[in-house]
Amino acid sequence: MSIDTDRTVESTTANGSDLGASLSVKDLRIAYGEVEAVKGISFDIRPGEFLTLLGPSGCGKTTTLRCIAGLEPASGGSITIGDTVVAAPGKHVQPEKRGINMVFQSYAVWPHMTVARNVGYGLKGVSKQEADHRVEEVLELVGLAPYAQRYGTELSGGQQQRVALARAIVTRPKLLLFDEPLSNLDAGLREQMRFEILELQRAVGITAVYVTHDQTEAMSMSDRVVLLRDGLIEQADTPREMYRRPRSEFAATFVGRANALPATITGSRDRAEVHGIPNPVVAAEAAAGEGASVAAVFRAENVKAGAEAEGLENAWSATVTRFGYLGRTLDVQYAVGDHEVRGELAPDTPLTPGQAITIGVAATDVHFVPRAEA
Amino acid sequence: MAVKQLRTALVAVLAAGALALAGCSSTPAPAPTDDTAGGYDPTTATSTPADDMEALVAAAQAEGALTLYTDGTLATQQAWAAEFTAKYGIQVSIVRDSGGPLYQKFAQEEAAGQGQADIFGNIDALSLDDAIDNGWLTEYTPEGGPAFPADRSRAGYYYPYLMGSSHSVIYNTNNVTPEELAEVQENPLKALADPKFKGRIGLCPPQLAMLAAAFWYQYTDGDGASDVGWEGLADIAANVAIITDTATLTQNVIQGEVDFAFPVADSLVGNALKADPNTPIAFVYPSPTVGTQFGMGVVTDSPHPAAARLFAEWASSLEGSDGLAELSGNLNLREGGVDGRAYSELDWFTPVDLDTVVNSAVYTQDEAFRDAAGPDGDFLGHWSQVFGYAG
Amino acid sequence: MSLLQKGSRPSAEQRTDGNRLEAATVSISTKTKVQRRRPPSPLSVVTLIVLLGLVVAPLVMVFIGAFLNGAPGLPKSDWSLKAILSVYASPDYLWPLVGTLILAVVTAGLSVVIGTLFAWLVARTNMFIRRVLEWGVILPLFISPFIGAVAWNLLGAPRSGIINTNLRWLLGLDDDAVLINISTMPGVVFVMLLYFMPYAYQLVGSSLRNMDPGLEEASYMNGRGIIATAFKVTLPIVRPALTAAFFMIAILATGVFTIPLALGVNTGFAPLGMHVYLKMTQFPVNPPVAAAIGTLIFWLTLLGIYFYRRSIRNARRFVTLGGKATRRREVKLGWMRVPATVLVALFGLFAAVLPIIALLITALTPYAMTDFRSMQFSLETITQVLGSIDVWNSLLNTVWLSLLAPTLAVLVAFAVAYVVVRERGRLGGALDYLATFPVAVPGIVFAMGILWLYIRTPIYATVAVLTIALVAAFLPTATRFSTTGLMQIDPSLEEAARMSGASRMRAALTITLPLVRPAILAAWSLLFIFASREVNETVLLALPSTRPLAVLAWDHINANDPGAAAVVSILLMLFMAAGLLIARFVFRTRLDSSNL
Repeated sequence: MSIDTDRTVESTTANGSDLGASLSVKDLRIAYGEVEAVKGISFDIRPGEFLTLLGPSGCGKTTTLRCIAGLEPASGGSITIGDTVVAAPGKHVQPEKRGINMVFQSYAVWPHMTVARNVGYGLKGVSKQEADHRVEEVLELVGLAPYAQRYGTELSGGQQQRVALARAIVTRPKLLLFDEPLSNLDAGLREQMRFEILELQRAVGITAVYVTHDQTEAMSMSDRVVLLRDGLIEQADTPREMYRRPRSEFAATFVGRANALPATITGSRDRAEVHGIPNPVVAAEAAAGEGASVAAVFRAENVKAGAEAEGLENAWSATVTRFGYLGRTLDVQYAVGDHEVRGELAPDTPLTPGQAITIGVAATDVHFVPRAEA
Repeated sequence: MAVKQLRTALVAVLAAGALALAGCSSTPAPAPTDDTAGGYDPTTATSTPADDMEALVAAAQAEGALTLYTDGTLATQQAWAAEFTAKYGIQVSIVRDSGGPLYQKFAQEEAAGQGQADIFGNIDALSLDDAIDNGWLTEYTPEGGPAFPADRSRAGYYYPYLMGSSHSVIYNTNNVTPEELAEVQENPLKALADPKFKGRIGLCPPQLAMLAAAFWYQYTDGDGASDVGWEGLADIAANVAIITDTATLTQNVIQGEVDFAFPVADSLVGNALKADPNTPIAFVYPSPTVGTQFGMGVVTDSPHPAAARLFAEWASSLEGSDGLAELSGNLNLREGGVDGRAYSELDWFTPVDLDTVVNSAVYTQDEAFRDAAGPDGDFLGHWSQVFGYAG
Repeated sequence: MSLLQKGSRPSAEQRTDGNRLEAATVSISTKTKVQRRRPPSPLSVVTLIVLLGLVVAPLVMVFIGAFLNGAPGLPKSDWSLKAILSVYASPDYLWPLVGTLILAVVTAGLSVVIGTLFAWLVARTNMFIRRVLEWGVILPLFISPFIGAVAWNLLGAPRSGIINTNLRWLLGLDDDAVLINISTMPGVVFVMLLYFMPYAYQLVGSSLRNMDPGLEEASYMNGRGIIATAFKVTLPIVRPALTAAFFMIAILATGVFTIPLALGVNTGFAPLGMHVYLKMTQFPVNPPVAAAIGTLIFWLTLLGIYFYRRSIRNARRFVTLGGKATRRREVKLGWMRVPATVLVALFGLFAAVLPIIALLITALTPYAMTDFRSMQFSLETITQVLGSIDVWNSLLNTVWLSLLAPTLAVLVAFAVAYVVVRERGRLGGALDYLATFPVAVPGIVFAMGILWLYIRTPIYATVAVLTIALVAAFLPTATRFSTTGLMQIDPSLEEAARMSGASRMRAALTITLPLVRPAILAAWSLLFIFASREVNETVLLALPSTRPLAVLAWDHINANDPGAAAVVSILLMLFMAAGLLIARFVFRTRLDSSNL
């Protein structure tokens, strides 16, 4: 497959997807002067796949995305879209020649153009009739057909978001990039748009790279999640694996609500000593060698209390320090020795602050991961 | 990458250098073409025999335009040039500035091979001589040239096409009482030292023009020194309200801001009275005073050489020089020229005693004066100090 | 993850682990860190070359000129340290230097105080006829400061000025009573104030209008009154605009020479700018010393530029464009309402109405007459001036100059702003500084450099050389407008265009340019006025065939013909008004103080 600079020619891929291209990022480095924001990351995306770059602000996820877009130059490594190398040492294909499109965090709807002109902007070299038809089609798809002649600034945030989306897909890109597109929307709309975007991506069969710091978005939308931290990949997995088997303390605490107790592996490698807790913490699988500093990681929803905790491999006597009612669950914080442990209980569980209670976690729910260096 | 950056920087520097070079390398002036060996060439001739006048007029009209650099009064020069245009159909542009800056502009253009001027006129004989020394003025003797006084000309180069003028003390006729006027007419500079004139006097500083410097020099080191001297000037300084150029001074006297002003060329009063005879202005000549005339010459690299020569012919003719005298309200120095002075019939006018007029041709050759008023001399500084002048 | 852990690095094992996404694509970085910097873009290199020719080369010529003993290019000119030593190594220019600084600081300080007060009164209070009075503050921009000074000399000369002459008989005072004397240093400051204060008003005014009303409302909610709110909230927020205005005016005042000259001040002190002019025009003409003084002013204003740039940089941080269009609370002035109205009205009277009346009188009287009792009027001066071909030739030159210079200045400035704001390359900083440089050099000194540079090129003696001088002189203003305008545009708007397949050029033309249009038009309108009225830059370069109206007026003043100068000045004002009205229709922009 080749990247056609002429967008009027539709290319079909042999990869099963109509439009999507594969993307391969190899040892990508991006430096601003002396500061390196991305320090050598590699990942691949199959055609039609939805991949999310997740991470806290400053981790380099947006920089990576902009580098794929061609808006930032790479200082090392290579990026290949389909069969075309678009960035490599000494090579930088201009963004408009990459055959991709992008949805921006700020929507970037041009205020001096109508919705129709915004959407039709990228259809250069297409006959007017064809362009009008495609604009109409795409606006229909995002439900904005009645607003075609409005100006971008006259629309609500959600509608502007749809304009941006329509504008990004009307050019039939091989790869669609999303830069935190939902972060400016209110909670209800965000959830709705999440599904709309996903539906659209599936329908068009486009390859998507999505950047967010919101783990819920990442988990609910992606085929795979790449977790970034300080310009390096912390973990790359399917959402399910990422959640179930975090590979680091950071991955565990960033995705979902997890407890991480500092521990030291004992002679039996499925056990670890935690300072201030009488019994070693037990996990289902063995970890690195004896004496290794690890974090014993377990999810809040896996922390049982009272009768349910009885008979679990890990059971500790704890004190309820505080709790909050979240509707579906009760968010509880316990004190176990010097440590704080967060748990979730059924919403109608009767609790009082200071109450002594036994809590427990099944060994299968505990993982030992390398401890983050202090 | 470093190499690439270096290269970019180098390109930028080279381009800038090229620009600067474009500014520095002088275009060689085109050599005068003299293909009519022995014959008359209206563009290079040093004089025009009567028989060739037609050829000159034809060549000049073919050129069609002319630029005159002058430090004379703009309105007068324009009206005068209009007469030339009316006669020959040749447009005249006038560049008018004070003598010093005008010569500076002219010199820079000529040195750069960017000559704009066809005729260069200046009150300052020194700059005219300097222009000749540099080869910027060419030799050309118009038919009427010899009819002008030889001691105010430089034969073959410039002639006082414009009239002579002498520096005077001008005054507002409405604001000066007859008694005050009598005192001033008796001995102007001595009288004006009287405290009753406090705040009523305007001066032209020596920095403004060499002529003004020569005037003041007469009263510090020349014939007027014994009568006035630096002490006398200090008394006058106490009465001074304005120190500025002569044009502004004339305006201020007419407006009544000051009642007296000096040294101001009598020709400026002539101009003002010519414009409106009711203007409340008159003058008296101090003794000694300085006098000069505007010399005009043909420019070597003139863009319109034939038109320039034709203008020189016309300006030196009786018709041309009388026209200027009438328009400017002054005396034509040419043999048989008119006295166009609007004031010469007025009762306050007393002709200047030419014996007391130090001519510019004299003082520009005076070494002592040139040293004192030059960049290394202390004359200008001393004057500024006495009068509290910042220039 | 806490900030303290920011320095933590995953172990090599982890990194390999983390990167093992697809077995086939595992790659462990073995290359050493490659420092790849973005090479300067072609646009930035071209812009740099333009700026080097436009700004640096003339400046270099001035510096070269200071090390000669005559104007560059003259046969007798040679290298010499004399001019430099006479300026830098003698006490002669020490007092003028100090005096110039004091003059600049006093003028700028007063301008900012009054400008801020007026801006606040117009923008925030219930002062009477605000819209009308605002024009009294804006109108002086249409009057060249030098023409204004000439007019004020007619008005305020101690003995014969229109004000003194007529109030004397109206009030029955002695014949030698002097009510106002403009030919003094306070007079110079007064006239500078009249014509420089509108800059402060304009800068502070737009800052006040852009301020989020909530900031002031919060102060009222916290029990603070009008005065306390103005001083504790409003003033600190517009402070960057205040400092920017202060340094801009201080720099202008440092180079001024036309105003003290036109007012005929001789107090034994002349500002440095006037010394430059005198050295260029008085006997003996001494261009090297003029150039050397020019370099002295350059160092002085360079300092001003440093602070000016610092203050406008902070201004960016303070941009508080309140998106919500809430109605702003109007401050009720109470008994102060009438005095405030009178105060602002007086400014308009002094800066615009009286000078224009003085010019009209001068144009209509046969020679300078100031006493209303004995005044005669005639149309002779007007018919004579309008009947001469010079005026129409000059008008044509003004048309060219006032259209070309702002357009080119805005284009170059937009390129500079684009490189500075968007490309953020290392050249950007240099370009930004270079584009501010012309502010540091008084017009006449800069024109000297342009003259020496271009006198040997074919463009000398054409309107092009005047245009070049003006484009360079206007660059700082144009760049300030373009940079601010561009910074308010979210870069993702352009990036979205690139992603939709537009080239850099197409994105700039179809997205960026339409969006910065308001800022560019505002700059253009302002520069149109500046180009029309400019004298300092053009007077040395103009020839009869290339002379614009403003220089024609100057020449008439020099040629002792204030009547003709007045007629030309009035014609010039009419031209500017007509030009702005046409621009308003062509560009469909609303004209008010914010975009003037």
